[in-house]
Amino acid sequence: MTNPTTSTQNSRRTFLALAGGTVASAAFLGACAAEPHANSSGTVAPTSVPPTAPPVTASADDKAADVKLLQTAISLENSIVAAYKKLVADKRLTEAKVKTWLTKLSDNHTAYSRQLNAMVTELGGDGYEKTNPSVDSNLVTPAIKTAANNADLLALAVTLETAAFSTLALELASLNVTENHHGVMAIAAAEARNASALTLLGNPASRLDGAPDAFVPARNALGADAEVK
Amino acid sequence: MVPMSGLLASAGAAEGDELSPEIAFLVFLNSLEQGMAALYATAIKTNRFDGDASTLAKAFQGHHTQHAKTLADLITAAGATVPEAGNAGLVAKNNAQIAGAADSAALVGIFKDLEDAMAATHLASLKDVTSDAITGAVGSILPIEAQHGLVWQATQDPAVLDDPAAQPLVLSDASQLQQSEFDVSAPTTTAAPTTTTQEGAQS
Repeated sequence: MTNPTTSTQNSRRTFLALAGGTVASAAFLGACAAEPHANSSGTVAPTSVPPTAPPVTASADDKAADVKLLQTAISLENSIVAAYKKLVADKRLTEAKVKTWLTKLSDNHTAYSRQLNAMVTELGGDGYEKTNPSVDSNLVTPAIKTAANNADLLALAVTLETAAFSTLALELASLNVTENHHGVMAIAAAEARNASALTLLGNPASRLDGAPDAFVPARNALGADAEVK
Repeated sequence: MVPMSGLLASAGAAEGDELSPEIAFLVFLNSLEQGMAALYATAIKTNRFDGDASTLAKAFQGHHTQHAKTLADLITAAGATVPEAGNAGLVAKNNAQIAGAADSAALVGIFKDLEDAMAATHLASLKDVTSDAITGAVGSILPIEAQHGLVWQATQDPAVLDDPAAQPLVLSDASQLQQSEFDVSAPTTTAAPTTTTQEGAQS
């Protein structure tokens, strides 16, 4: 079957590959995260940096692709909210400070879900209220089941925050409606800070653990298997 | 696959052409990243960073160097000219502060504010930039610099880790560095800051 998005998608990957290895791999996995998100009109995804930015008019197909991407991101936010509620109630989570953080972050992720859903509605899509089945079954459930102590549960929270900001950041370049880039990245940046804060909570004696990689790590972004249907 | 020669041909900005706003902002961001790397180098040379802060400063300097390289590759691909040095205004303004920093805590405070401003500047760029290549790069850089800011904040005041409500729900771009203030075409100064001893600065 011929996929009308393939050419544009491959071109995008090719260009980003020229921009640096880490960005390239991040962009590649971002593109893999949800295949249909490539620009379907072929008019707004440049294969290089344009000398003059063309006006961007997203087609109906472009908007539909964005809706799918955003719904996947929303599902992750919803899974994090559900996970944090479980962690806060878990007797193995003994540190009051960590409970305070996860309670607050649960509220934050609820707000992010609402904000991303507003973007979906604006694009003409349906709001998404479910959690992400892949994240729930492949990450959250086994991690909670095997956690031995407070540190293990905190590590799960760090992984979830990292997955959240990595997924949003790597989707950014693929959202066809560019007006949403700022809002999505304002969330991603806050989540990135929270990932570092939780990491530091796990090892208060050292600031070094909170130091990130040079670029957003692709390894923790959602893969294609986690795309919502 | 699009060959490099094809990319350059399609980008097509000739030497001397006025840059498009997107490329001009890309050049601005690159100058800031180079400036941050230069400022860290200057601060590290003062030997006033303590313990972990020294290690963090060296790591973050390396990150900014890598960010500058990524942005430089995009500028080059667009046929424009990469700035030869860090943003002169940013470097000059903060070299003076670094020179006056009495100790590690003072340096940490300077770089906490700088990293927050850098993250805000990258975020602000997304209001106007539409190129996938640029937004892809910014998307991969912005969260990292936001994390730099948080790590410096926690180094400066560990009590911030006691209160999650003190962290922003979403990042604001209010502290962005303005192109009008930090003109990328301003003459570059490479002068090192005046060295001040810790004792002298504290007195």
